[in-house]
Amino acid sequence: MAQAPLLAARDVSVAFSTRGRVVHAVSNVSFELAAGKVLAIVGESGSGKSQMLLAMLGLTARNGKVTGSVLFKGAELLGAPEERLNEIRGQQIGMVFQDPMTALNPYLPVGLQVTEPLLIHKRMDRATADKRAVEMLKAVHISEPERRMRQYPHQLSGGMRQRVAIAMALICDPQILIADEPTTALDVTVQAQVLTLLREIRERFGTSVILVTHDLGVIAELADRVNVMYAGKVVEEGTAEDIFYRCRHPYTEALQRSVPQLSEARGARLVAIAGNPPDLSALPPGCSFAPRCFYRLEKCDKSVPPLESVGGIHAKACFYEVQLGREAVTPA
Amino acid sequence: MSEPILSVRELRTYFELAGDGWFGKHKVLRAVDGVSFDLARGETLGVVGESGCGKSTLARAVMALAPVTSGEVLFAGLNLATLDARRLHEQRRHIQIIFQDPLASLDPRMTVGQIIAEPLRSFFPGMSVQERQSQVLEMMRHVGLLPGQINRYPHEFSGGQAQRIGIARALILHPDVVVCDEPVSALDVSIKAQIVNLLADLQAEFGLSLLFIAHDLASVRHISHRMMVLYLGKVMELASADEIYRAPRHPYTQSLIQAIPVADPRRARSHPAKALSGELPSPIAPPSGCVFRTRCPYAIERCAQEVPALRSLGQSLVACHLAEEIASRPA
Repeated sequence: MAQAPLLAARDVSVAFSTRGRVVHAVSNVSFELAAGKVLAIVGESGSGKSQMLLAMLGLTARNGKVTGSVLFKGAELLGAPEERLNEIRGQQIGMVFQDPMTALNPYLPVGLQVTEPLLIHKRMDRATADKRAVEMLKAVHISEPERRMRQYPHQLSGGMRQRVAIAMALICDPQILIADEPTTALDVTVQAQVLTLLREIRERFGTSVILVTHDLGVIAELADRVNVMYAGKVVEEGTAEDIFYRCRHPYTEALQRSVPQLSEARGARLVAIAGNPPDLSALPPGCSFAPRCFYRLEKCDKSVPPLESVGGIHAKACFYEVQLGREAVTPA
Repeated sequence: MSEPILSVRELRTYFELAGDGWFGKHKVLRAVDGVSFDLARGETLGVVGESGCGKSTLARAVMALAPVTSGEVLFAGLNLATLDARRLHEQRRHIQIIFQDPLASLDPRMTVGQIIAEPLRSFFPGMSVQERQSQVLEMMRHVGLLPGQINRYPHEFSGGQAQRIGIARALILHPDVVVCDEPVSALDVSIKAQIVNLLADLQAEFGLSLLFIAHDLASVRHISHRMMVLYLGKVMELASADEIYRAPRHPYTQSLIQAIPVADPRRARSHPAKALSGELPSPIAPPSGCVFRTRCPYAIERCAQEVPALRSLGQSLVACHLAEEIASRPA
């Protein structure tokens, strides 16, 4: 690659020890995020996607052990001193979480919360910070921003709260915005507002986005690159088109087929993925998805398939050698 | 089709809220405001709308769990609101509910067996322990739980498995109507499909009528025969699921469909999800005339003055003054 990526994770693993058991939440995950791009991480509960983000930011719970490397503009984040991380978090890397109500302090007016990062990181005076906050609230399409500054979170609708949370994350002009399920708790019409906003932010400010979600529609709208995670590992990665049209991992295919399509008439049966995700403290010896896999081969139970390139940036961790997905070429 | 199993007529559920200050005027929140529909035997009626549209209050009012300010809920011809406590209790076994958050709706101190058996204890106190046990095991088999799990506690189960327990509890009395209040919204994608399929199977097996409430249009369309679109407590459109998808008549239904992101990058990029402008008005002070007019791209003066009635247009029922003109317009 000509240019060094903005963020590069190498072989990141996160393990928790609880009551004599070791839970492997993230296992050897690597990815790169280029400037101005959107990387989506897709996976279900327990796939390790949120733990991966927390580990990058030095927010892993105390009983967790993080190994590997995360380079942000060439400097190591893992194990960096707390003061250094505090400078980065909220300033160079902004964060938006699923539930805006838990991200906002119910006792403080919106204005105080949106300006806080400016007062701390940029040592701005109150008047300048207030002015900047009003501009940012305008940028995220909040009506009457001056009045909203004095309001409390409970006086705003869910969609407005999430936009305030996004404004707060963007207020210091971060290079990376991490959005962990930013639209999951929102209604579909409000979700569309937030998606439009994320698209605008990236165009206007050139912000790179790491988007964690389980909604394939959201990924199709925004993502340049997609990492599919299952049981703590990346099982497939590629461009959005690779993942949607030429997927090579059975889990990716199964995820797409299990989502009901609006265009499908009643009665069509959903192709459910049988069984449940594995226990992360007792992973099967082979491929973690094998027990639920439709295409399982004998060796899938014995050894773990490595993540291997299938052309360009498209890679898969699967022994099965047939192209899946809707543009699949049936072998002769 | 024969007589509907559930008939809801002009149902209104209003909540009185305290006014501002001690002597402030009381405010009225119109959660459900004049909703009518029939549910046929074996039918699934999907109810969609955003948070605050009144869909959960509607579910509770149908179950006689929320107050009915006016209107009627007729179950097999019986008006539930007029029944005394004992007779209402008797009727309850015919209408059961499945909740959104499976773990929150299961008592953490009861075993799976006790949870599923609870309705039997309540309605058939004389039933022998063996009979109860065998009915519980039978129902566990139907919903895909293993007999060995009968003595486990809810926290030992994943979300999808816990929802199976909730479904077993709702079905153990063999009800006629099951109200499903966002039954798959809290579940992971791969598990959602399992539960949607299970509900479809159980409906066919037991001849259930389902009132399926969700904000996810695609899931609702998948399981429903007909769909009802609610906005601020009022019905905007009621039509077959195919009709709603192919020819949505109400501007609000159209916006809901256009707001869904498509899981297809090329299409999603050429036709990104369209946001509905503005915010949901407060249900305490809904707009005059048509409640949707403040966010409607087609609104005219008449919409502020006259409340549009729910009327037939083709195969659909729609509450919009301009439905004909909008339908003839190219999308």
